[in-house]
Amino acid sequence: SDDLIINASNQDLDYKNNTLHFSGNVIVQQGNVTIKAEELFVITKDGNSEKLIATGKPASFSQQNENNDELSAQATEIIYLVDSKVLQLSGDAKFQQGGSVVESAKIEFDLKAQRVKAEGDESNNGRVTTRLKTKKD
Amino acid sequence: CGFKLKGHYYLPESLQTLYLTSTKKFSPLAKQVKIRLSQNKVVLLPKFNVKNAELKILPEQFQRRTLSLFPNGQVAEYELIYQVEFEVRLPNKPAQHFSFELTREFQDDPNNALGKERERELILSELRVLASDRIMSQLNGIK
Amino acid sequence: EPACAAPSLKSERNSDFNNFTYKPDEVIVTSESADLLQGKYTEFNGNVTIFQQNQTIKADNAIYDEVSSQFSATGNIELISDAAKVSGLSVFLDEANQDLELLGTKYQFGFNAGRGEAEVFSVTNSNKLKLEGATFTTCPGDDPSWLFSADRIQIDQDKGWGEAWNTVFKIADIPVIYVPYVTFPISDKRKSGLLFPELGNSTRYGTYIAQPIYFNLAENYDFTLTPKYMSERGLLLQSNFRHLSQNSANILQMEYLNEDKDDVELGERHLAYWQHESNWQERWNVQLQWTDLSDDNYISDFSSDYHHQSDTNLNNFAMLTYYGEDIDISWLSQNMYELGPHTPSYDLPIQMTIDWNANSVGDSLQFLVNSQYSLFQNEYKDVNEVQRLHFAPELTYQLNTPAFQLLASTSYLSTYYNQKNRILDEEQEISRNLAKARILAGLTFEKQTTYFKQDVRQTLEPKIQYLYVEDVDQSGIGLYDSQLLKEDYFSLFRDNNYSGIDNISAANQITIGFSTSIYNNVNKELFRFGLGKIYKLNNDVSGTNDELVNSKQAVALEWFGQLTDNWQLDGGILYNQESKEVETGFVSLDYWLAKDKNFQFNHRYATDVAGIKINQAGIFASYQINPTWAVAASYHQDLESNVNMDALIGFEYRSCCWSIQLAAKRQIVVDLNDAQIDSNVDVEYDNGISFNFKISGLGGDLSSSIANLFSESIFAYRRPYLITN
Repeated sequence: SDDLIINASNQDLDYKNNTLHFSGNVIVQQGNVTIKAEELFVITKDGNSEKLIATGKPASFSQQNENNDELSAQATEIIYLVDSKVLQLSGDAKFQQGGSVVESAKIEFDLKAQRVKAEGDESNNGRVTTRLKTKKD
Repeated sequence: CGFKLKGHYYLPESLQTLYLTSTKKFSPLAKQVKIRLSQNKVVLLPKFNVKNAELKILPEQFQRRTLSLFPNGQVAEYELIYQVEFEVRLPNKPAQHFSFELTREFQDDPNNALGKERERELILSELRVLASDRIMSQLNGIK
Repeated sequence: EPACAAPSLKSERNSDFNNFTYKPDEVIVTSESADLLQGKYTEFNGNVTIFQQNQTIKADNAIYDEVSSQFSATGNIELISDAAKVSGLSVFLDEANQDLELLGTKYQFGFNAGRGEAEVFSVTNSNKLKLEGATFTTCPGDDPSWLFSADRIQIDQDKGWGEAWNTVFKIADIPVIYVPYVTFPISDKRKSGLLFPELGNSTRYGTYIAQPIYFNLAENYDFTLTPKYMSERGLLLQSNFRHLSQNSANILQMEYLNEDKDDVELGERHLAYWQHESNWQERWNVQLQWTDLSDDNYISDFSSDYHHQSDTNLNNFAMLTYYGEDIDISWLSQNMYELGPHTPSYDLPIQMTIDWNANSVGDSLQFLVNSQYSLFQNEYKDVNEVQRLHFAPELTYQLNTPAFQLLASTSYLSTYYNQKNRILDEEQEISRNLAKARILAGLTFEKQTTYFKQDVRQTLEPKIQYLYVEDVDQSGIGLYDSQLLKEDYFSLFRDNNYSGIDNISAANQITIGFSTSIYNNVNKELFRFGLGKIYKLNNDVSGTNDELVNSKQAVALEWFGQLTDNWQLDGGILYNQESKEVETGFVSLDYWLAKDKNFQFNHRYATDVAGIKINQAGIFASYQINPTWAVAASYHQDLESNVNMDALIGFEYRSCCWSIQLAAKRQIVVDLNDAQIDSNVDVEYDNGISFNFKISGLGGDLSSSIANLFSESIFAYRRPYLITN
């Protein structure tokens, strides 16, 4: 997979045995994926990053895919599983693509299958709000 | 007792020139209203134009109401009810709708139906003259 | 009002509707969870709510197919829109063209109190509703007192009416009527209760039921078929066809009863009626009216929309008119067909009238010429054929201003008669020439005043007329289309006592009169009082057939108007000064508390109507006991022969979705096939009980209608106009 470029105002490379820590307008680039956050933890396994945990008010994620309708998401915490290319957003999560918008407490986005799963919880009375663009003939 | 000669009512400015029309082509009431309008020096336009007022005479209705019977049950006297409707549209204003009724009593005589029919026609023509006067006084009150 | 007005849906929808901002082509869905597969479909689970511009749908779960932009949802569905609130098992929603379809539904309409169940409830382009396998009622609660069940009901909200196929009408679950196709109003905008069946029973018809079926064939023509079954008479088919076009209007009414069980010897009975009017090439107008009856008594037996039940004749005529610039020419052919054993009036095969006017409409000086040729025929009269040629130039000066009106006219009437007498087998020629002069002047005074605490305008209009009509011998001339005119306040200022020119009464008289009226701010006349008197200048008007020729010395009085907050008085008197007696008089006293709490007493007196003395009195009364019960009664008595002519008593029970009117009536019945007008020896009466079941809650007819009972009376009731109610 493409390599990860991370820059932040300060970093602590051996925060814990296999965890790196970045803070201060962190920007992560991987291919056509971009993550921006206040703070970032990178969990590595035998040398390459396996899981990113980004937090912010909110942290944001965007991806430019082939038919260039821009996809974007945001939440207070975004977890990115690099290998399985799965994104887990929680805390005022919002996901936008091609005019449709999903908002709820937790949203899981599978980049490969282009599938979004949203769950509500008691924080916003358990509701998922979806706005669908309908094509008017 | 407070009465004074009715003011020489020149119709309101907007009605000094108007287009008179009626939904029914040869409406006798419209003809009678035309006479009254001309006598009051109103300029009648040949065709409709949006800058001027329009007076439209709607179809008249005749109803009858039985008042008394002959001993054998046939109608002896009935009331002729003449219903008049008209619309006034001032330039760039919505049309205002007016309607009123005039009534007359009529005695029937089964033995001279043709003569009675002429009497009914005479009463209707008298009612139309009265209706045209009523329409004129109604136009006078339009703001 | 009965406490069951339909819940308004609007308030219900707004609660969770307006906290979203809407873009036109956007749908908002809230759910407990959502599963989007981009570009393919989205699945929503857990009390899903779909919000759209004009409706909200709730469901347990729903799937949105993005390709076809269609929703399908299942599990206790609830749709709320302005048009209806519908609950069902599943819904299918086509987002692109706003169509939707719910299955297994219960619904409640928004535009009226109608509700019920439907296997399929579908909405197409958001205002055409279609229900299949549906029931419909406006009664609240679980077991409705009545309901319609129909294979299919279609409602077009724009047009304001609906259609139903294979409808069964049930009362308390008992099927009462089956109708293959029917239309009904969903609001009182378009059509009144044409649909509702009329049930009743009377000695004349036995038990009867009429079921109108309305076919709106096109925007400009429609057809109504009304089969009416009467146990005592048989099946009467009534049909009405109306057609309108840019320049013409036609009405065709056909009614047929192949055998009347009550008078079998009459054979088939029918009515055919045609009314036509059309305009041709700008200046030509054709009018035609023709009625054909199987027998003289048809109308009084079965009534008709275009004749009055107690008409004494049929006016059959055809008229062609040319409206020129300053000349009108008309050709008329007219036959007044007498109903019943009356002396038939003259037939008028052809009459040509030319009215020429030398001046334009507004000129105060006018010179006009009226000329007319008439051919009269009457096979029952000795003088069986008459030709009349009439020529009357007239010069008038007319001044018409609001304050002052003046009409001065002089005319010279010359008329030539050729009267053929078949008995004497001779032709008599008479010509009559006479001069006429008339001056009528009037003033109009006005003041603003108050009348029952309302600002009003009161007028005072004095009038004076001098009339001179040369006294010539016209005794040899018969009355063909002329008849003595009724004398009342309005006739005082006429210039002839006869309706035609066959008799022009001599006159040398002055008429003085005044009238005062009160108008409200929309110019409705609230009060009028008029008094007039004729003064004859010389009594020795020789002339022959004196009483025919000479005009009377009469005083006429007429008034109507509100006296107190609740009382109104109408009346009129004609007093003949020479014979010192009241010739005609009527009075009508109204007490009015509310729409259904009122009372009227009326009395009519006339010494000579077609040679018969009229002296009749009557009362109308209606009283709303409470929101559900109302009673009304009317009673009319012929005081001359002390006979009751018309008596009605009616009760109305109203619950919130239906009402029953039970009425008993006893009315005099005309039998034109044999009776004479001045004898009531063999007069028949129709005693009947009528039972009128009406469903309410469809249009805006929630208020009581007990006063409609009065329309059943021969003497229809006219509501007094009181400011204070």
